[in-house]
Amino acid sequence: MSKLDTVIHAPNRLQICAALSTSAELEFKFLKEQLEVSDSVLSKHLKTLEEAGYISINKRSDFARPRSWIALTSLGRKAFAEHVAALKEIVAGLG
Amino acid sequence: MDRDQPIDAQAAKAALKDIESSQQNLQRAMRLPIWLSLFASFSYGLLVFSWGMTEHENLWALGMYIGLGLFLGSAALAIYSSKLMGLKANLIPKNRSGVLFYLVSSIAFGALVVGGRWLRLQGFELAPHLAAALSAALMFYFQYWHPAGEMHKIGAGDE
Repeated sequence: MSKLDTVIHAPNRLQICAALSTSAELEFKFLKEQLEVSDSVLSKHLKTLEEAGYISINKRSDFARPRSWIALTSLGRKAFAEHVAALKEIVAGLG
Repeated sequence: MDRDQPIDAQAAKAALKDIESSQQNLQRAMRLPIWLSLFASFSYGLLVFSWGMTEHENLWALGMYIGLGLFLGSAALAIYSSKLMGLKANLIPKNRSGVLFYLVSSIAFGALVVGGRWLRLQGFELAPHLAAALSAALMFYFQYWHPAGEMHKIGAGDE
C-alpha cells in the first residue's frame, strides 16, 4: 500500500508538486502567480521541499536577469506519484 | 499531519481535486497562441503533403524542406516564448502518461506520413491530401488539448 507523504500533503506544496510534475522546470515568479501566494510563502514551501530532496532550485541568468528555475528531482517525482497513489487508494476505500 | 495518520476519503478526494486543478491550470498556461498553433499545424501538414508527393527531387521536395523549416521555426518560437513566461515543458516524457502520449502520437503521425505516401504509390492519388489534412488537424488538436504532452486532456468543463 502506498504511503501519504506529510512533506507533500500541505495544500501549497501539493499544488507546487502537481504543477512541477506536469513540466520540466518552472520559474519562481510563474509559480508564484499560479499559486497566488507571496514571495515569502512560496520560498518557505520551496525550502521545505528542497530540504526533503524533492526539488532542485537552479539560479540562472536568463535574458540578462537572474531567475530561479525549480524542478522536481527523481526522488520528488517518485514521492509525488506515491502520494497520489495513496490518495487514490483512500478514495477507493483501500486506505 | 503525521506520516502514518490516515486521512478520510473526503480529504483525499479534495487533495486529488487540488492536484487536478493545479495541473489543469498549468496546461492552460502551456497552450500556445492560436495563430502559432495554426502556423505549426499548417507547416507540418505541408511537410507531410510534400513528402507524399515527392518523386525524384521534383518541386515537392522543396515544399518538404520549406514545411520542415517552418515547423522547426514555430517549435523554436514556442519554446522561446514559454521560456520567457517562466515555463519549460517536458520534451522527454517523465511519467507513464507522457510515455503513453508520445507512443500514441508517434504511431499516429508515423502512420499518416508513411501511409499517405504509400497509398499514393499504390494509385490512390488523394492520399497525401488526406494524410496532410489529418496530420495538421491532429497536430492542432494535440497542441490545444494536450499541451503538456500527456494523455490527460484539459477538461472541457474548465474552458
